[in-house]
Amino acid sequence: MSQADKVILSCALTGAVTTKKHCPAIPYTPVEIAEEAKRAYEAGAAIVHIHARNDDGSPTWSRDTFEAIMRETKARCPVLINWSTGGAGPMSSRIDHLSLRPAVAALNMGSMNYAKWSEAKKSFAFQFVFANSFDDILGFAKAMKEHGAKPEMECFDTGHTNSHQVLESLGLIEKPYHFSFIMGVLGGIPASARHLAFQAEQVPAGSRWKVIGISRDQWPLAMAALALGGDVRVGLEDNFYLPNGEMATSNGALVAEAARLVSLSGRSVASLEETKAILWPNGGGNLS
Amino acid sequence: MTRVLVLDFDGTMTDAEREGEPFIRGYLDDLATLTGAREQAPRARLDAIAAMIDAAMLAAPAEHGYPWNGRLVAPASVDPYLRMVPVANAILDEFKAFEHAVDRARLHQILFRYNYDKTRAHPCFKSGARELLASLAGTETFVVTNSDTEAVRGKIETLDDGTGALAWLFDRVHGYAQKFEVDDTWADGPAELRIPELQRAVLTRRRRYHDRIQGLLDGAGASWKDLTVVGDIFELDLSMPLAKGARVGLVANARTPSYERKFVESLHPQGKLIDDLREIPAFAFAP
Repeated sequence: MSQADKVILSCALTGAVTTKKHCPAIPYTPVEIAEEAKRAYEAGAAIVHIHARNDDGSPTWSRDTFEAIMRETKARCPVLINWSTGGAGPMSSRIDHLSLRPAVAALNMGSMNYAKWSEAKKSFAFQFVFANSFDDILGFAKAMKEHGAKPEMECFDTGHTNSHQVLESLGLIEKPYHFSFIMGVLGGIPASARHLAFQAEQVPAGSRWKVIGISRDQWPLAMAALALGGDVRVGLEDNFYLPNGEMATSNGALVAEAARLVSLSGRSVASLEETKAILWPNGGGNLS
Repeated sequence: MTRVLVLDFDGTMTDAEREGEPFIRGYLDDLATLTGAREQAPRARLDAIAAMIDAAMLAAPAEHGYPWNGRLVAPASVDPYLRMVPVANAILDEFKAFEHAVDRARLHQILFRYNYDKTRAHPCFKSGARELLASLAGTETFVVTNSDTEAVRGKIETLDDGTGALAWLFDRVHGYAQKFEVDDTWADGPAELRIPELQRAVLTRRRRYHDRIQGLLDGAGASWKDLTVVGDIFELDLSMPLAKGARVGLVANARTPSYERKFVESLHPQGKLIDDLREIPAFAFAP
């Protein structure tokens, strides 16, 4: 089976916004996050995407907290760690934890309106400008290069995808490039197969890309990505629900469902070692 | 002489229309998301396309075939599983999604399997299916199906309901028969047969399906002349066995094309239209 037939499963364990009131399985503490990382790994995830939280569930960029998460996770399983760098707060407060040398770090690739519209109320549930200037993008990319983390370029629209050219020109990313397409956020690209295919066509040959579907769109979009040759991210950050409508009791349950979809597609889940060989074909990286 | 009976399962022992409802609903829901047609107005457009294609297939089944590798290998109208592919293609065409053939075929594969799994929990058996299968214990009877082996075995276990009356059949289920797969390089037997009222030829060189049954016949020490095959779609289940000399029984339903009904009736006594599952043993095992 070729590398193209292998599917790298990622799991976004916790996010920064939702709470245990929304879904009791959302982990807060480093130990809880590490336990969820282990469940995701055992179900087939090779990469876990992590935001840090205080014990009360509020988001934090504390380097100490990230360090504890990394320590607890590595004590339990060898899954590859992917730090978030996106969200509230100035860039300077969202960069220190990269010195802990995760294997991967998320890199938001552009600015946009970020909103949720209520059709019933004819008003926004929330709206803000998700600001990621090129200065910030380049600053994060340089820090990731300095600390050996592979950028996961998070693209909410085609312009974001196209902006990888700047990083390429400056030598801040190494092939194979690693893209994530987040679909269905109001202000970004709509969540449809046609738009996903268009995004996939924008990346340089040999790149890896995955889809990040939000809420109930996650499963059909995952199937579309599998048909188009992409990888898949699931996890409680993006969606609480299994395809049958039941709330997931762990990230592992979501990853297991993603693995089932991979099997149905005729492709196979990339093991940890296969994932390393795919994303770091020449070695290097923070893989120990 | 040992007589052998090969049964199709989905649509033959089950009511495919009722059983397939979650399959159809789930497939259309997924297509609604993937085409961006989830909101009320566009979803209505998607449902209208599905209804229009379904009506066209029902009105003129001879003109609407199930495609495989660019050729039509079965009527598309007969059961929800076959019907969904042309319906989905029409929807994807309308919304200009998955226009590349290879990508679309992959999408169909995963959507098909994913939504077929939803039917496992609620099998809908035809009246008399349990009694029929129980009565066949001790005979050389097998199930050969396009569906997943474990899925069909699970349905039979459900039908058995812990009585053990159907336990003899559990290990005689052979799935993934690929009955739709035509192999022109295989020159054993006629390439096609003609059916009145059907303009296209029925392609009979279905090698993988043939090889699956041949293995069962070899195991039983029987030949194709000793075989009866019973299924709900003539072209898919019965045409190749007929070309090899087997008896064929068609379990028709309201969506069976009239040309298939008439043709099987015309084959008497080698062919039989089966209105009641209880007719199968006498037809299959008569000398």
